[in-house]
Amino acid sequence: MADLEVLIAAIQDGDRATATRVTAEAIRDEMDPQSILDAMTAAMAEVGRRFQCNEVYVPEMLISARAMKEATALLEPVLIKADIRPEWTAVIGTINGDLHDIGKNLVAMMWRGANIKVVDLGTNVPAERFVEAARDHQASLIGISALLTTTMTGMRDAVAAIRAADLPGMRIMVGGAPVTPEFAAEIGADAYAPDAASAVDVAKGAVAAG
Amino acid sequence: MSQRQDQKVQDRRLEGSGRLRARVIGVVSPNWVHTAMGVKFNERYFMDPEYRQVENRQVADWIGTFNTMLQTRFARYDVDWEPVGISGIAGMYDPDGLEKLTVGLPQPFPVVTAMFGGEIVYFDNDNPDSKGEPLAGISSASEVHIPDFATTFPVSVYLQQYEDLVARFGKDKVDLSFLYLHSPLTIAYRLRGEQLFFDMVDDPELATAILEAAHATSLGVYEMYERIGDRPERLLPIATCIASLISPDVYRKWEIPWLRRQIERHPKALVHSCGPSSHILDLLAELPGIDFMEVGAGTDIARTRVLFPKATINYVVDTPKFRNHTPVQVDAEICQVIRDNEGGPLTIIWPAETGTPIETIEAIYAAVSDYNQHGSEA
Repeated sequence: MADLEVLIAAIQDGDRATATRVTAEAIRDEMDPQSILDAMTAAMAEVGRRFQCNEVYVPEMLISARAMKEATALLEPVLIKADIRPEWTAVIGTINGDLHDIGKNLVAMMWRGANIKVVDLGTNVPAERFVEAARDHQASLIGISALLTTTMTGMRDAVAAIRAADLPGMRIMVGGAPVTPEFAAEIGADAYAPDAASAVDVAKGAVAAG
Repeated sequence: MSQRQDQKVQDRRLEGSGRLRARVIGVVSPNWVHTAMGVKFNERYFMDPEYRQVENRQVADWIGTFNTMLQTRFARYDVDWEPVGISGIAGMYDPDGLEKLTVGLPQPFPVVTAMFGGEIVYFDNDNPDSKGEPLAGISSASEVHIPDFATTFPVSVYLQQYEDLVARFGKDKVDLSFLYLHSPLTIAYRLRGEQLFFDMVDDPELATAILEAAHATSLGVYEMYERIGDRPERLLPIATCIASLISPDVYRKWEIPWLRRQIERHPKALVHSCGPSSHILDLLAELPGIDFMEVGAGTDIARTRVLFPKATINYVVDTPKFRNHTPVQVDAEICQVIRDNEGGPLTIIWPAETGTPIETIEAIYAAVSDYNQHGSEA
C-alpha cells in the first residue's frame, strides 16, 4: 500500500520523482482519491507555513509546487471519475500597468495547492479582463495583485468595474507589497492577504462569507 | 540607491565620543516628479539625450525648489544631508556643476535583458522595466551566448549617441554609465524566469551558463562604460535585489561565488539589498571589501553591525510603510536602527512616494538630529 506520508514529504522536499511514483502507487492500490488529494494539500499547506516562517523561500516553494502539480496531473482523471472537483474557481492577475508577478504566482500556487481552480491572467491585466474571465469561468473570487505604489491605485478602478459588472456574489481580494488592509477596505475589496501563505485562508474565508 | 557613497565618514567622527554622526539621504520617486511636473519617463526621455536634458532642466529647477523648502524647514536639525535626487534617474546632478548629457538607461535590468532579446517597457511615472524572459525557451547550456556588447541593442545605440555628443559638446559634458550593477542572480532570474530555480535542480550546467552570461554581460558593459568614460577607480555598487526571495542555501551556491568575483575586481564595494536581508548577512560577511551595506527595512541592523564592524550601513526605509506610517512610528523605527547600529557609520535613506507626508520625512531628520547631538541614549 502506498504511503501517503512519503507523498507529503516528497512534495515538501520538491522531490517530484517520488511524489509521482507514490501517487501512481496510491492510484494503483485504489486508495480513496480524496485522501490522496488531502495529503497533497496538507503538504502544500505545510510548505506555505514554512514560507511564512522564512524556513523556505521562493525557489523551494516553486519546486514543491512543481512536484504537487505533476502528482496532481496523475490524480486528476481519478478525481474526475470520483466526481471530486476543485472547491471553487478563482481568477487572479497583476493590475494594469504592473509587470511584477512573483507575489501573484505564489498566491496562485498556494491556491492550487489548496484545491482551488485558478485562472491566471498574468500581468498588466485591465479591469475588463478580470470581469470577462470571472464570468467565463464562473469564478467565486477575483484576486488582484500590485507591487508598485504607482499601480495599486488602479485597483480602485478594477474593484469599481467588477462591482459594476453583473457578477452576483463575486468576492474581491487584493494584496501586494504596497497594499494595506486600510487601502483594501477603502477601495471596497472584500479581503486582503499580507502574503501568499495566508492567502488560502483569507480567500476561503471571503468566499465562505459571500 | 545613492551614488554619493564615497563620503568621508572618518571626518565626521565626533571628537572624543568614539561614535560617528549619522546622515540622511532622500530620494523621491519618478512618480512624484511625474505627478508634480508632468515629466514623462518614456522612451524618448531615455533614448534621446538632448530631450532628456531639456526635461532634466525642468526637473532640476523643481528639485532645487523642493530642496530649498526642505533646507528651510529642517534647518534647525543637526543633520548632514545632501540634495534630494530622483531614484534610478541618472545625470540630474554633477559634482562639478556641469550640465551633463546622460546617455542610456542607468539600470542594468532592462539593458541586459534587452541585449538577450527581451523587451524594454517604458512608463510615464516609473523607471523602465523589462518584459518577458528571453532565455525562458532554451533547453541547454550550449544555447547561451554572451552578446557582443558594442554591436547589440541598446548598448550599440548608446555608444553611438555617446560618440556624437562627445564630438559636439566635449567629453566632460557627457556621461555614460550604469548607476549600479544588478547582481548575476538577479539578472539571471530576469533572463530565465522561474525556470532558473528548476534548472538549479535539474540542469545545474544550464543554470551556471545563464549565471555566467548574466555576470559577464552586466559587469562587462559596466566596465566598458567606465573605460570609455575614463572614470577614476570608484566604488562598485552591486544590487542583489533578489536576495529577499532566496534561501541562504540557494544564495550561497548561486549568488555568492559570482558576487565574490565581481567584488574582487574592485577596491571598494557597496552591496544593496531591497528587502529584509538578515538571512544572507553571514554569507555576505565572507566576501572581502564590502565598505557599504545598503539594506532594506526588516534587516537585523545589530547583526549587520557585528558582521560589518567598519562598513557604513545605509538603511533604506520601506517605501510603502514610510508613506503610510505616522511620524511617531517612523521616529520609533529610526531610533531603533540608531540604537542597533551601535555608533558605527550610518546613513538613513528615505525613499518618498507620492503622498508621503512631510511630517514623516521630518521625523527622520528629528531622530537623526537627536542622535547627532546626544548619542543613542537620547
